Amino acid sequence: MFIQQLLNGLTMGSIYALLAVGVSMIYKAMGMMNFAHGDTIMLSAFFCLTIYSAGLPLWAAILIAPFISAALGLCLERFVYRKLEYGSFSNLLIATVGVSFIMKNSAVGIWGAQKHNFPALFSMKPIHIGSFTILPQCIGMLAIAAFFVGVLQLFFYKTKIGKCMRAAASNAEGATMMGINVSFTRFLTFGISAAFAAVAGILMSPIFYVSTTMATNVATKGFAAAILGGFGSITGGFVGGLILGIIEAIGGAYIATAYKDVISFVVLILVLYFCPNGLLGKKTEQKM
Amino acid sequence: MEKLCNQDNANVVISSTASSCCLADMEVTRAARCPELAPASTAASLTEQGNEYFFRTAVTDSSNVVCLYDYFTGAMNGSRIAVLYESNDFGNGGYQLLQDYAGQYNVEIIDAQAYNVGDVDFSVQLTQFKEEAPDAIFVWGHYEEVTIMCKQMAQYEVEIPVMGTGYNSPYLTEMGGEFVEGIMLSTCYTTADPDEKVQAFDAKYTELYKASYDQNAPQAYDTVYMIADAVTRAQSIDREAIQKALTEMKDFDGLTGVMNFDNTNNVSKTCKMIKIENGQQVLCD
Repeated sequence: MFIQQLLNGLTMGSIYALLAVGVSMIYKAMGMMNFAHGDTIMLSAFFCLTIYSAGLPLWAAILIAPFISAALGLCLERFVYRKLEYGSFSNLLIATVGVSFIMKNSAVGIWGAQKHNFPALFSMKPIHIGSFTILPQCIGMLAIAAFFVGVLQLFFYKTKIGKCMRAAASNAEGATMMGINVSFTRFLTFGISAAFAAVAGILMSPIFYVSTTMATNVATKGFAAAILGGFGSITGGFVGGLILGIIEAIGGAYIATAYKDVISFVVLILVLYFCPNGLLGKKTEQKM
Repeated sequence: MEKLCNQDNANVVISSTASSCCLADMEVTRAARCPELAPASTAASLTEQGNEYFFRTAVTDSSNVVCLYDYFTGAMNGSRIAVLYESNDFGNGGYQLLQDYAGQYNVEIIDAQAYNVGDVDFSVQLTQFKEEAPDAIFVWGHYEEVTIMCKQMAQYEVEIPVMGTGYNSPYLTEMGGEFVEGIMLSTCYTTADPDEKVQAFDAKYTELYKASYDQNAPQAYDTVYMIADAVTRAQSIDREAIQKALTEMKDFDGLTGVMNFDNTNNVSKTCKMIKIENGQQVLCD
């Protein structure tokens, strides 16, 4: 049963990992926390569902939705966040909260408050490995999350534009002096983050149903997973998400399912007590 | 509720759907001596507060438990159940009643797991239930989580009958599709009931609103007419007069049954067992 519950935790763990990577990416590239990430995921899911409901094949809807989400992310950066000139962390934080409210209420106005079905992306038939059962959607989500995490890691560490983004996040003034177009890197970051949110939204939709509140509860868990793994670390976010999902499953099975959220956050606090930078986060010194 | 009772000076209020909200707002109506009728809240604790101004016109969870256990131990000849319930006043109250009545029906509750509203992953609970193999899974929750749970039951190949209450909604079949086929529930109202009044209400509602509905609609309908009946008998719209008339209500013949208020201001209703077959509600044999 322990192994089975461990496997059970991987599905939600993959979802938390995707969310954690999304918020870590923004923090890594821009030094800000994006509380509108969950609602970007929600809108992306609705974009995909709307395109599919209009008559296009599912694969086409899945391909098109991330581009629409990316465009949304680019518009938010260009017309909302850039106006704040990225000077104040708290101003940006509040701005993302405001954007979150606008997104959620706009979605209610456009698509209504009820839940919508979304077609399954993976086979419904379970895979039996000995006495254990694992769902194809768990394997699929884990594989897709790992793939995109790998792509993002390569992007940030092996490509010039990725290194420019990291430099801009570390010291915007210094990066500008080195000839980096900081404004453009921030612009691109939001676009990529929104496209990534679309991937998360599409993968979540068959499980969560598409609704305006589909990402509300898990968004908090995504932040918790990012902190657990080390905020700003993409690999840390991925690992933190998986660990959080497994802790929830094991805690629910052996203590009480009603308290699984409490168990997760208690573990998070304990980890931070012993590892203030998270499991894979690195302590960085700010030089004057 | 403050606004309704103390600013708008309502003579009588029809209260919230959620039992948790009723528990909170009934303190306002108690202080204001304003009759409050709850047409949708089922938690047993609502009428255990000693509030003589609070009247429950919804079916009680006790009636649902009796109906469920009668069918489970009778037609299904079952004895071992697992319970999955919402972690709130509604779910906790239902689970408590299942425990209270279990001895009377010789039912053994072999496992009970809670879930939070909004949960989407029931793999932990379902894999445990599959190993424990109860005769049925009793669910005390709403359609949003029940439809997801039924889908995951199919994915994990958990072939155990599901029965319960709280999810009598047209969205159950709309969202659940093939995955809720065979699910059973107890209810005080179903369109499968051949009763003339029920069929006439169903036709009229569908014609007016072009939408389907759950049991809260007929219960609310009965509630409004109970208030009208009380005002007619009292010949007054005074709060105290309405409260007195409601306690004296005798054999009110509504859509959801012939009803009287007992000494705790609960109405007595007889529930029916229904099953989902081919996307429709049918009465269980």
